Amino acid sequence: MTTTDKILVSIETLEALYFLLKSFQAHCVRLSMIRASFLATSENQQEITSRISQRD
Amino acid sequence: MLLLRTSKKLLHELAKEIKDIRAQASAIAEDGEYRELLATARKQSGRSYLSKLFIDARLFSHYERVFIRWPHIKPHALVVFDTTTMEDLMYVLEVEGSLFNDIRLLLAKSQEAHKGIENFRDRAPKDQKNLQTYLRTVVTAVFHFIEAYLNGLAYDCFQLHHGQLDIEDHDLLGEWDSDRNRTRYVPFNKKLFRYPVVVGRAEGKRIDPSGCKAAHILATDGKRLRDALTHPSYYIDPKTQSQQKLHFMTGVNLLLVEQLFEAAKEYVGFVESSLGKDPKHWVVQDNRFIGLCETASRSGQSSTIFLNHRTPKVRC
Repeated sequence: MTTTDKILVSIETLEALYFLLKSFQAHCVRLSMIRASFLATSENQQEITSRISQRD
Repeated sequence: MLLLRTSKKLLHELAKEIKDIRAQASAIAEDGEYRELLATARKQSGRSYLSKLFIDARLFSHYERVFIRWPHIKPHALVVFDTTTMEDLMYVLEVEGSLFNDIRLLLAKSQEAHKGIENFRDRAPKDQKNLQTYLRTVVTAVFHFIEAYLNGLAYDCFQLHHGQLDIEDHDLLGEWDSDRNRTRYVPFNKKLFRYPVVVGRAEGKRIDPSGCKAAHILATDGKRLRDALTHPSYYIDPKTQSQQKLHFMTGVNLLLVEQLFEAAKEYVGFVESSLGKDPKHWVVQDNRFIGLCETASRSGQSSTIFLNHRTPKVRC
């Protein structure tokens, strides 16, 4: 499992725990933002890496 | 490289957060089980429910951090979840609580239609008609409430003391016939007088409902009235040579129904106190069902109840 996968699973675990512990409302926006910003950064990085490797 | 370092830092922070939450709520299950529950709940068009039994046995051993009253909530009660809203629903569903609220609502409607007029002939025909409708419904609701209460009591005892129950008590609480491997329904009056005895015995307490006046009111006059409404009939009773069920049905009045409701509350209070429950936490008081920590919630759509229960023994 890659670090990216682990991060996504951890976010899903946190969402599940907060949901079951009735604290979802207080955390879901933060977790969604972490997920979205992480994915965006990750995708940008992958795109850059991919372009660099294509150029090389 | 920078991203990798940032990712590792983020992963570390998330892992720490998970560890902290797990410690705070005394999480029992593996992380994957929580994710699976959330995924299942997300697939539901209706709400999802987790019983206290399931939560205590499989998920968290300190759920009182979520509901302060957790130790006083009945094991069969269901915590309500809904993934379609960001709001955390703080509802616990207890069927007997819902039925109790039905009684309160219908009784208030009865009193409204009654208008404090003692002679029914002085009441407006429309009010009288509505009053009779509400009263008939209150009577059946009172018995639904008592039956739900007793069945909840039996279910909890069955689940919590399954290994210690002798076969007779096991079958009585499970409404089961172990010899024939089939359902054997228990008559209402038997539940009324026997279930508290069996449950008390399993919990090391001696309970004797035979001395409870309210139990006798429910078992005799109350039950006759309930039977007349549940199984309406023009049948002539050979003993009295009268159409007894019609007699009960036409004779229903506000005072009688209020007395029946009082008897139901008194009976539940008696059993709960006898079982050593703190009346502040689980007794009907001042016309309020204290046992409920929140208003029961109902779902009109399909929903999932995650079960972790024992079923009656089946002999192969």
